[in-house]
Amino acid sequence: MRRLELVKTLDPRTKLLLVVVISTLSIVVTDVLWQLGLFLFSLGLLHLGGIGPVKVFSRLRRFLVLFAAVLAIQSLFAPAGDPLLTIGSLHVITRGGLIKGASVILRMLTIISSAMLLLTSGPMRLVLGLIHLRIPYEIAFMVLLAIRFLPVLGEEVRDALTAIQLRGVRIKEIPLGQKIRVYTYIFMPVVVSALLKAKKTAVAMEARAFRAHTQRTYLDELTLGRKDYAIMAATLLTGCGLCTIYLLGR
Amino acid sequence: MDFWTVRHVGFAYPGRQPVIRDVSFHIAPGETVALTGPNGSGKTTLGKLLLGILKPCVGQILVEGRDMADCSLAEMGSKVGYIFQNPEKQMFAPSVREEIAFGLRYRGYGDERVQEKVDEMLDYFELSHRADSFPFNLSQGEKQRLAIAAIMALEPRFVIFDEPTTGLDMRRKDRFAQLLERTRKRGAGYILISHDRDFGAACCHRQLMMKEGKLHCAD
Ligand SMILES: Nc1ncnc2c1ncn2[C@@H]1O[C@H](COP(=O)(O)OP(=O)(O)O)[C@@H](O)[C@H]1O
Ligand SMILES: [Mg+2]
Repeated sequence: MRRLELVKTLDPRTKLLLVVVISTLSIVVTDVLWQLGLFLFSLGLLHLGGIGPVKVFSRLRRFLVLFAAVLAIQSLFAPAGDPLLTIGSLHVITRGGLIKGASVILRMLTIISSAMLLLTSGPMRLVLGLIHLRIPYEIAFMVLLAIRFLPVLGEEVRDALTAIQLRGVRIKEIPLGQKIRVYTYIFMPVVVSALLKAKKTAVAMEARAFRAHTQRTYLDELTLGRKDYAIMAATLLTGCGLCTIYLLGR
Repeated sequence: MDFWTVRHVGFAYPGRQPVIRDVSFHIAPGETVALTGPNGSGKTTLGKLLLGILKPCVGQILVEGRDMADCSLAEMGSKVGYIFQNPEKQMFAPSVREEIAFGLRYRGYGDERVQEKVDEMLDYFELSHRADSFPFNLSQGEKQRLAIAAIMALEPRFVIFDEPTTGLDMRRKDRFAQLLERTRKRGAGYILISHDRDFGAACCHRQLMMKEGKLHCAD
């Protein structure tokens, strides 16, 4: 329980730095084993922050199709090494292609899961963190709204799909071409109703005097504690260190 | 044979307390039923269960003798019309006319019959002057009428109305009662979900009362 507190109470700026360093590292290193290590490390951090591996994977599930596509494209168009499956004269799957695909996927996994670290702070603290980094309040607030409205959009899509099926569309049985047409059909109302909702939110915000005063005060104040400075320093040092070791080792 | 047979159905939203507890009842074809009860008693949830939008956690629902677990939403939609509590939820077409025509086209009706039916509906629901408007720009009352028109055009054998009378003025309420009568004369049944017990009693054969997820029948 105490460890859980440690990550949760970190300043959002510290977490932001962690995310930036981990993502940068995952782009710099191209070795699969190193990337696996980075991914495991970010999983570990998330675990400390109260998001267990099961939760992480259930969130990553929606990217599955994308990952499969990346793997297929990599092994098809960037073949290297021993062929594992050959059709005619075409090497469909090669060892090198698979490894490259895996490394691209690991990189994406690392970036996405490290970004999840930001979810362990409340949204308002995140906005505060951004403001302290001199990002204008309006923009920080927009980030907050985006986080808040994402699930609404998902719900909107589900409702439209239900309604269209009740009107007689057999979504599971129709061919792909028509399916795409159905999706474009519901795309419009979903976007429109999201826009209308945004407009209402804007009115509600103005009614509560959003931006009426240039000076703002905040209920919660953020201060970087000793813990934060220590972790920031450690992150930067480790990040630079790993970078050097990796680049020298090649 | 019953239209719906509901056997010991229970339902809970994921990670919540149950909202429907051990509910059983039958509904005959062409029957008109008022489903009443205070806010939050589970009326909307029960309506969605009857359509298959939600699946029961325990128990079983049969529709015309078939287990609903084997029915697709499209199949249920061809038998039963459902008017959402929030009419915006069921609109997806770029114009009022198109919204009404959509289901008819999917039934395989020819263009001429679709046009005829759409005009009839526009006229009956007093929407002719807004025929080419964008559905999301209609007033609340117009949206509700459009939602009902789009479903009634398909002449379903059963209709579930979720809180249809909220936001209607007296004249519209009378018009709505007339529509219910027309539906009844056509031989179709309906379930009226409403917390307005007097209106329900006036328009329906039978009353089902919900309270905290349980059914208290009052005939
Ligand atoms: N999508 C949902 N997720 C979680 N809980 C819900 C959802 N929809 C309704 N509920 C809860 O279920 C209960 C019954 O709701 P509902 O069926 O809408 O009641 P009624 O229509 O009688 O007012 C309420 O306590 C409500 O908070
Ligand atoms: Mg309701």
